[in-house]
Amino acid sequence: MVMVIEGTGLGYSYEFDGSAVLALEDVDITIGKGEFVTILGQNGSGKSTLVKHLNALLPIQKGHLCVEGLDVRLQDNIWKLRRLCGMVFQNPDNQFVSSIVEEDIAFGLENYGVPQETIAKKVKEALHSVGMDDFGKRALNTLSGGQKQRVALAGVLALDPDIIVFDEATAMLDPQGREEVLNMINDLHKKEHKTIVMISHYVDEAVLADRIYLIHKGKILKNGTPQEILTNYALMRSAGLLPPIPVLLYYDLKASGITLSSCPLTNEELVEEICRLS
Amino acid sequence: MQIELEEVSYAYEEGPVVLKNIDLSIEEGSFVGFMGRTGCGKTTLIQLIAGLLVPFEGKVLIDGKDINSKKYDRSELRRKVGVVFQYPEYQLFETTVEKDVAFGLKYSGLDREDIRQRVKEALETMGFCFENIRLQSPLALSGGEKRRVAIAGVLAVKPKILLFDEPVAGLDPLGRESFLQLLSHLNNEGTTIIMVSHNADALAECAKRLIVLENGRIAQDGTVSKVFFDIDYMKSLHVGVSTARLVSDMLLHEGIAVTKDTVRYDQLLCSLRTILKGKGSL
Repeated sequence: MVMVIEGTGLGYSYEFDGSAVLALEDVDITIGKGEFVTILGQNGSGKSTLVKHLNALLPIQKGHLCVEGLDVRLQDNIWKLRRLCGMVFQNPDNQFVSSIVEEDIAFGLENYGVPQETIAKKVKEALHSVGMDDFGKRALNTLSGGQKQRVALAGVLALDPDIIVFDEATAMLDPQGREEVLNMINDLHKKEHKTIVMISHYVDEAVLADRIYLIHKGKILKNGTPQEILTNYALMRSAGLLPPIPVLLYYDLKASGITLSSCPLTNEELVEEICRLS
Repeated sequence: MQIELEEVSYAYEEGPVVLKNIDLSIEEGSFVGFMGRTGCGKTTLIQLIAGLLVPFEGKVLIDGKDINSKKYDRSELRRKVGVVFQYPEYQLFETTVEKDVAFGLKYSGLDREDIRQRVKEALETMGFCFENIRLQSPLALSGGEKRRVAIAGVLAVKPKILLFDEPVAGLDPLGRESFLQLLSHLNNEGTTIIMVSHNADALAECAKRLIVLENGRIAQDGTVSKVFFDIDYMKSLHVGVSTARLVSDMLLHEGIAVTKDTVRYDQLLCSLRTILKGKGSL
């Protein structure tokens, strides 16, 4: 697999009132082209700090990082990096630059000097891909949270990035909105072969990834498949997280002397295991 | 009745009607969860109860008084009703945590020592050590900490009614668990809690009554087990039911007789313990 993200020894501290607060410590991360990776960790674990390195939103303080072969430290690479690696954040309001939906989506394209005719077409396509075809002329402040998030994603998709980072992008959405965005992420991964980096503390979302990086207090505790990470109760607790409900149930049943033949990750697997037993 | 809405309707300028003829009463000491798809009017409803929006038709009464009548003393409302918005961290603005939490008490008539005591209590309730946190800048805290400080600012006023708009979104599982415990604790002490959330699991754990809105109307209203019973209907309203309810429904379809009104995790676990007892042990 071609590696599109290769970082070694990454470290970062924020400065508050003259004292340094360590947010990342000696982080190694490699992500292959077309891979779907979730960075899982509790609030304040360093997830966002880590991914903000990917397109130089935060400068490298320590270590090395290359994205698609581009050294993130080099000033000349920044514009290329921002186009290659798009980001969708938790609160879309922080991401908007215009008050009208289509103007906001066009903003990124204009910055990259895309011709006007192409911009109109790209904006339309982007709105279509997030299911908001009729919302182009709407004012952003009239949209609901979920609708705003889809516009933010459209703004990123319009630039056709290779890598898309979702920073808790579903946190504010209703179940349907969440499912739509997750389906969209899955499609971008499976059909468009985009590399997806998703930050989350929703364990049921982490199930969808190819691989999980579990992060705690700025350090990577482990990286592995969802099965390896999420079914490990002690590991999850040491990261300050709770495993998915089927996993919890597996351990709680085990504690009362009832052992399912394997630890389920999803509701479907859980029901299957229970049926097998009874 | 502590909170009454009488034929309340609301529409934003240049927008469609958000709430239509809502009739609703909420008793003192209840814990009511509101669900509904994005844009269904949940946040608008919260803002109407908090007196932040004025209905264009109908009345909002708190303790029997119309909060939008000219004679009504608004400071009474501010003391009675506390609101925690979707991003409470944006409510922070002071230079120190102590000042920020104390702000709502500025014009309360309490003396300095009482205010300090209230602030201390509120911060401790939210899991902070008062001495360690009081002089820090609220803006330099982590996201989760900011949220807890903002909530402390609302708690310090000791409102009898607390409104929460999507309070657990963005909190990690442990943060969510301790926050829900706090809500249940406040509710047990008599505070009325109204909580808007998409998180069916969280609502199943702590709400006593659930109301589902659809297109500005009340589509479902009742106990959690009653509202979560019809999974397909809930799906058509674009809201989910709790994981425990989903799993128990799947099990029932497989002929495994879990308790029918299971909605919480502990109920499911209990049911399964009884059913699977003596099986699968090594």
